[in-house]
Amino acid sequence: MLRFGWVAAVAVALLLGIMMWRSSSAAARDAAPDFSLKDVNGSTVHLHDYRGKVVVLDFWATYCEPCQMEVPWFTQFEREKRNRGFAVLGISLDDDWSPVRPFLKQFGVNYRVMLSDRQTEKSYGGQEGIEAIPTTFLIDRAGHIYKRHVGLVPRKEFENDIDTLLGDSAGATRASSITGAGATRANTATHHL
Amino acid sequence: MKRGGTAEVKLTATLNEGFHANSHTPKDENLIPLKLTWEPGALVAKDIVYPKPQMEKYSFSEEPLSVVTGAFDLTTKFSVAPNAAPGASVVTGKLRYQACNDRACFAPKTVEVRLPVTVQ
Repeated sequence: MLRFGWVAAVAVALLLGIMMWRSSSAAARDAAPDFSLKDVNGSTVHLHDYRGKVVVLDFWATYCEPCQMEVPWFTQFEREKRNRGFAVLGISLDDDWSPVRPFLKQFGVNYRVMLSDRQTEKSYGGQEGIEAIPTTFLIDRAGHIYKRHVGLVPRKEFENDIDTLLGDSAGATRASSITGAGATRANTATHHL
Repeated sequence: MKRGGTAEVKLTATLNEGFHANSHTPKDENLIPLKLTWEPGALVAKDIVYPKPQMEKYSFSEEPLSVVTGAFDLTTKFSVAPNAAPGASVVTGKLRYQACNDRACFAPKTVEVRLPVTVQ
């Protein structure tokens, strides 16, 4: 009985530690600034519309070759992961829609793309705005910035990070339910002690 | 310079190491070409000779890109307008370019070029 109690207590301590680490690491992330931008159809898009989803927010432009390389990756991620609570949002730094519309068609882009404005660029890039593209933000389900990449990043790195974030909340839920069960067991165990 | 005369002006530009700009004839129509333009003034631009493009392969492109790197020259052949007013003036040009390195690109920039001219 005594031995079982120690094991249960250690398990609970570990689980609580994991939970605290999870919550503190997520809490340390900066909030992703909200924005209000028009998409190609004229609809207004806000970041807060995507709360609860993992978001790849990509600042790009049609004239940017490294950005062009990422577009097919993001299109595939959108297609394969959208049902898991994932979305890609593209913010184009082009001056107007004229080069963007044919580009979206040419590349078969299946995610929402908006035209940037100075306010959004400053809120994500500081006083100088977004200076280099692609600049990509990975945003967690709570609307916090998990990572910021300036320049091209290997596809695998994106995919791993997205999957980590998609698994994050599932993991937290699992940890939470395990802790609950563990706490019950621990209570029981303690009671037996 | 004399009215009705001609002149060649060479403009030398330098990109920092590790950077490239699209040439004046990029293969991809989405890319912004190197372009020099001159405002009307005492001189009339007749022809602009751009630097010879280099075909360079980068990690982000499947095909080599038509680019310029390092120091390069743009030569403009001017004629002096027959009706140009004698005296000193400034001819203004604009050089538009778009630079990238092997991982990222930067917004297109336009640099103003000022050319002091004295017409006799």
